[in-house]
Amino acid sequence: MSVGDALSRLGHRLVGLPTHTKVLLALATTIFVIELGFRYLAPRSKAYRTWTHGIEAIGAVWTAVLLSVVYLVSVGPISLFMALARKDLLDRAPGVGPTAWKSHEPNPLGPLAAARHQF
Amino acid sequence: MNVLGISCFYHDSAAALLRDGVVVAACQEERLSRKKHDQDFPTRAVKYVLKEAGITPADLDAVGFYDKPLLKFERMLSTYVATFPRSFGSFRKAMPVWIKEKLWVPSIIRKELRPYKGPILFAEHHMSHAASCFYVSPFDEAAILTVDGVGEWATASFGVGKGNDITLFKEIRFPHSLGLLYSAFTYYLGFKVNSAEYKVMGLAPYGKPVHFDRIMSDMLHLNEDGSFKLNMKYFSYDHGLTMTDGTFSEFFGGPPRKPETWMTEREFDIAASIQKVCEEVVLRMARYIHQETGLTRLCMAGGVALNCVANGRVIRETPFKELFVQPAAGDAGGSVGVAHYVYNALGKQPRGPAWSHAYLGPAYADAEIKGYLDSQGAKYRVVSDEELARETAGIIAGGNVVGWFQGRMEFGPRALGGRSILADPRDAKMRDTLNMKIKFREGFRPFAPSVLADKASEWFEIDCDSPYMLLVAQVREGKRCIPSVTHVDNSARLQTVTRESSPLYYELIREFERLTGVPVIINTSFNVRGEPIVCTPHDAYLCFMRTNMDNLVLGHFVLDKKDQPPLREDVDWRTLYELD
Repeated sequence: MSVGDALSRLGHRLVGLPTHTKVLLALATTIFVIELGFRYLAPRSKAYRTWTHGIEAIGAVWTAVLLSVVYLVSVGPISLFMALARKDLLDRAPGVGPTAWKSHEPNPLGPLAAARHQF
Repeated sequence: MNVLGISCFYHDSAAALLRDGVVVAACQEERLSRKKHDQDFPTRAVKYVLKEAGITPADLDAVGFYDKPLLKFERMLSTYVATFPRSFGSFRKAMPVWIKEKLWVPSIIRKELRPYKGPILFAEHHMSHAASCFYVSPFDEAAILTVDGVGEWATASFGVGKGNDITLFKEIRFPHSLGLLYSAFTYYLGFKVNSAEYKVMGLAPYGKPVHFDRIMSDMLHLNEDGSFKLNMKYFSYDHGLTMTDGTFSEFFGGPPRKPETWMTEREFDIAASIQKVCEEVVLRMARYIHQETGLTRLCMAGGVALNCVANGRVIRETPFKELFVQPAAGDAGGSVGVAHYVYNALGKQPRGPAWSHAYLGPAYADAEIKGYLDSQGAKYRVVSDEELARETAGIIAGGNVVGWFQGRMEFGPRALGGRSILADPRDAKMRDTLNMKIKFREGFRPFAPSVLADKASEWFEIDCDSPYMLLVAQVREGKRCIPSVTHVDNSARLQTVTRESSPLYYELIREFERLTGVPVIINTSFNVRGEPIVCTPHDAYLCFMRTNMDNLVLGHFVLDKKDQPPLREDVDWRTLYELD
């Protein structure tokens, strides 16, 4: 298949996409092209700094939204389950025993194998 | 065998290079990046230690990282679950950093150390602390105590080191932490957490520990063996973005002190109280460890081991006869610890010689210094080896403040005569002069003395060495003619100097004694408030010119402020450093 054929097929597929997908794709392509343009043509310009700040601000909002969802959907139910099971992962109950020292458990893998892992 | 140790991504990142069991170089990133307590990957420090050893990353046999990131991540997730929904703010702030950086430590190390292909090994945080003090100590066998804010889960641990092996027996786990308890008070008193804890220690002697009993009964449950649990209703560090909240404020009858505001007796008393609590916990821990191990030598590390008042009490009031505290007891020292752990414990290699000094950072030859000074148009005199100590001692005895830049930079938070500001301790006004006109810091802060080791017990109530300025002792009653280094309770955080560890610095103090009869000088770090200690001749010259220091001694070059051309700067340097 020639390059022309491939481009033609791609064009047909794009035309067939739903309108909202086309809008999103156009937006993403525009952002990508502007970013590339700034990077290669005016990497130290004030306009690029302003552009970067703007994109970062949008990113920060989206990060907050996504993390909020993750927090509620993942941390929330586990926390609820722990509360129902009356289990405190932090052992915050008042100290009553003669000691709060806990045994330092050596890693079951052995020192050298354990050192190869981050856990 | 070359082992690189790295500590980073929390605070005070650092790198250390071990060759055949001997630390060739160790350096905190902040000294090179000029960003206080820099937590980023120590790119510059790694580059420096490799250069000092004359090797490239390809020549490394192993790289060690000072903690276990996934265990730390597990602790954080557990904390979020346990404190839901109050932990949302903390979760939102921490997760992007973890996802972007902290979960990818091996990839980051490989990228930074290209083309290194060898193993990357991880030690537990408190094992790194334990290794950092035991393997460089002069003891073949010793008890080990590590106490800090938090590592993975452990906040304190103890064990025994013997030969090239370390075994940790027990630990206290998050959120019950002596380091974080102290930091909570640091925050409440209006100081910066993980940075200004030593200010609380310095503030304590001005107050009375009137809250001691209340703290001991309400805020923590302390056992006879030094273990404890905190009453977490007073603290918010487990779920929030601050250390304390309303309950803590209610306990002390008011909100936290605003930074840089006036301090009253209330703040002094709170500082005195938490300092006494800290000492009580450490003393009980030490006594228990002695009882458990039967050993009379103790090695200490972790941020709390920088509490030299507590250290002084450990050596005076517990059965331990000898104490070694790692000079970089905080997280920076973890780089040395993990490198030793990899080499000695995992590699089963014999131990190298004990540390006799902490001069492990960059040094600059006279030719480099001269080149720099000439480029600045600085006016200087060159003095010979023989004259250097005598001339500088004379300048100090004349009431001048001297920037002293000699040899290799110190590793750890203390200036020990490599990058120091020196002055005459006999002048009662010198403390205010140094605080206000040179260091630009709070007036209450004391200055530390350097004393000839062979004269230390004559001037201070101490019968052991304190080479790293990590012990506090009382100034002897008949010797209180050194008001600038005598704190309000007649104590001093002293450094004992030996000819073997620091010949030129020793000679300088000896010359000062010849002139004045006092074998003691003021030694404070060569920096201004908020600035990392100077590293290069450029840093030193800038600090000298920006402050009211009278003289600068860089290698064999002596500069007088009066002779210098004005400094050309296009920024106000006071805006460069965030206040600590």
